[in-house]
Amino acid sequence: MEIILLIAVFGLASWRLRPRHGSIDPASIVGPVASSPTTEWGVVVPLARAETRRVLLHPAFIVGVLLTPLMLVAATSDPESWRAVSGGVALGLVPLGWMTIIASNLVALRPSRSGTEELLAALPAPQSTRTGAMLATVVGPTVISAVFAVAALVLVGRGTTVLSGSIEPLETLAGILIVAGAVTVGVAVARWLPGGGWGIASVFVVIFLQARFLDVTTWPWNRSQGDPMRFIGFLAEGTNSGANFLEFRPAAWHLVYLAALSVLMGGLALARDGLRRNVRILIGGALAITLVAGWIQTRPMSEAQVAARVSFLLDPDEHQVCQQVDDVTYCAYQDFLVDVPDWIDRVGATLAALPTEARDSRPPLEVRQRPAIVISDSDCSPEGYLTTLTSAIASRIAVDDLWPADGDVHPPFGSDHFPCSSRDAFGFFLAVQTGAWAVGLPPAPHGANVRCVASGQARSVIALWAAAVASPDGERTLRDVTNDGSQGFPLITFADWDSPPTWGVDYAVADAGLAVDMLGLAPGDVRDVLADNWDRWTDPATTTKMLASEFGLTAPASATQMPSRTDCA
Amino acid sequence: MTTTTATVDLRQVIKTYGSTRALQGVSLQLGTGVTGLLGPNGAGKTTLLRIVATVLAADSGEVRVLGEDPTESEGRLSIRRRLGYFPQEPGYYASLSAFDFVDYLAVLKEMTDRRVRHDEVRRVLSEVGLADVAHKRIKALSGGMKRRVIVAQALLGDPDLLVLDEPAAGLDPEQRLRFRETVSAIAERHTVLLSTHMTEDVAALCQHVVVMNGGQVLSEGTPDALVETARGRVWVSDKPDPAAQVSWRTGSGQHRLIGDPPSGSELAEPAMEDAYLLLVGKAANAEPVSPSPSRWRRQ
Repeated sequence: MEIILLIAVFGLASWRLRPRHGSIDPASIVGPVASSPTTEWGVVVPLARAETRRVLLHPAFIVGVLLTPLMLVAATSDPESWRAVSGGVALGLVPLGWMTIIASNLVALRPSRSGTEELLAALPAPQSTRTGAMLATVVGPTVISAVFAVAALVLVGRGTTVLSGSIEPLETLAGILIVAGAVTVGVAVARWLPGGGWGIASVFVVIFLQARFLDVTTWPWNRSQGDPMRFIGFLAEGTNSGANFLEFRPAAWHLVYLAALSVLMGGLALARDGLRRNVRILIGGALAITLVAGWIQTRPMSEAQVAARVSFLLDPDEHQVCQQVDDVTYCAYQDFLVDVPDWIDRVGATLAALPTEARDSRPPLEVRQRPAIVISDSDCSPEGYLTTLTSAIASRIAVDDLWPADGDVHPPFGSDHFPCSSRDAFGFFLAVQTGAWAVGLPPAPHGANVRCVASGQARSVIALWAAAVASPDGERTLRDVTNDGSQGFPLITFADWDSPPTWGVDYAVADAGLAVDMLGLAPGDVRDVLADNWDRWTDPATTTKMLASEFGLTAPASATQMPSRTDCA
Repeated sequence: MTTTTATVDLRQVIKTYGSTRALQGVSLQLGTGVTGLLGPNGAGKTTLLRIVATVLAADSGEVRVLGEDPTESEGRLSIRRRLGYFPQEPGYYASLSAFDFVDYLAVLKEMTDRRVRHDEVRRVLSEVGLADVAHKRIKALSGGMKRRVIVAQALLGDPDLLVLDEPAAGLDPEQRLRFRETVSAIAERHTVLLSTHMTEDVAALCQHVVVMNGGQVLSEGTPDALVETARGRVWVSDKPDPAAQVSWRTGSGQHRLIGDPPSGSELAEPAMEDAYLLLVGKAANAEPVSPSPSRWRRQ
């Protein structure tokens, strides 16, 4: 189907863009096929100025310009880090690159399409000068894309979302270079395949190349997402590891690679007018730099680089910054320190909703960041975290070391979200972990995503209730999480979620229902009742029936336990 | 005219397209002034002009234009710097204004100084009477105006050699007069090679005329000398004469006949058109065409 569509588009474009006034076979036109020592190269600048105007005012480029704000908004929505935004801006510029290929291609083909080839052939500026001027139009689209990039970064920066990390110009520059390279692709295709349809076909080829041959996770490579081979793509997306310090991105080399590829295409365009010495040098140099930059990028990480990243994950104490607030220790990686104030708010509010005995009866609370076991991939599908890492790193990590059953609260990288949506959970997921810690349930999963079942235990209701009380819009969030996370089953297992909450317990839908009912009571009254007999309410043997009875609420029906789960002790 | 002073010097030039011989050993030497190139469709005029304009290479023979060899890159460049060319089917960048299009071509003529170039563009547009519509898009101009835009670009830089392939087609009478004036003024200093079907333009403009047919030069010389070849061979009659080489009915109802007049015929004053038709008709009737063109002395 894709091939038929491609052929149809190519055929239509070729017919529509065929030369209309050709009076002479272009192949029979002789010209100063090569520039000479007396060629007036000063022509290039004014000519490039005129051609740039033509490219920028070309309908295809204008369509690209109109699309770009939409693409940038889509590519930078729900940002969590400046890295994601910086890369997102580059991604948002890609469609502008596609339209630039078409625009520059058609402008370069204008002499044959308008029948002016014969007229131009009799003028002193040789074709190589005209090609040089066309290549020099790269300045226009590059400036436009740079303006878009800067505007996008400024607008995101002025938004309300506090982002971790800082702007990474090298990531964004990749998008700008892609637009620049699009000009050279369009001109090179025009010089070698002089038909309007080829420009459009080359866009499809570029997309096909990127999607099929330069995306290492797809056929024919089928490698892991973190494989360095991904850098041979035009736009090498970041891995899903969620943290900058885990990324291995030779970003500067990638820019060199893109720039050299662009120059290579420019050289090929000029080669159409003869392989002069300077063109040979240009092509040879660009090819050599492309190969070297490609080779350097695809080198595996060094032992030291791998060790550093493994240490980041397995020895968080050495790399995280900790602070203590109200006897609670909060530890986060440097890039995520901006999230800590939110953690403090949510954890503090959850603990405040509970009796002071909750803290007194437990060891000091430690809120320590670590990656989620299951995360969302770019297609909103669940993905095991280790598969996002370069295999050299992943092979050195044991799941029990990365996710030990330490009883601490573990916020993941990034904020709490509903599955594949921009809907914010306002820290509810972290609040549930805190509530679980307070009542003696495991806050976070461990090992290979091990979670226990606390169905029918009063303390599970208390954990959910406290989280809902402590979170903005908590009741609605609890209801929605219950419905979406259970999908009609008795336990909230988040089976269909692409990035499920990092909870150590599979709560029962019925228990969550009781927690919702308790939200109708005055929080202070509930806290007082719980405080009167905290040990009893947090005892695994205390049932939800007893809790409901205490508050005069209808007892939930006891849930059928999932056979593969273990009861929380 | 001597070989050494010829602006255009062609010797035994041959050009073929597949099995078609467009030029069959053409030899010509042209100097300052306007040379008119007459011939029916397919005579080889456009091929000849393209070779002179350096957009087409001859298969064999020797070509010198403005003293340069167009087969060499440097020679072509040198010729193009001193050439103004109006192709038979010129294209346009229709979405550009006349000014912008001519300005664009002026850049390609290596006029890099913006102010000087713009002055020159204004001058040539004014020369062809397009000053008032200089900033209109070409697609909004009439057919005649579009052709004048191409004439304007050919005048850029006051070229030493102006090669014009049917430039007056589509021009109204007033524009044609103006065009003749412009070309005449240029021809005072430089060489103009003009291909046309309009014998009256040749008569009015040219100091030299070349008649081609079948890829060969049938004759060359002054317009008057060409006209003289028809003296005594043009007559009028009330009825057509099968003996006439060419005949046609005029507006007065009489027939104008060209050929060998029967005795007692009413001879008419020959015109350029008569001489041209006589030559071309003779060539068509007499095969093979002599490879050596007849010559007249220039006036």
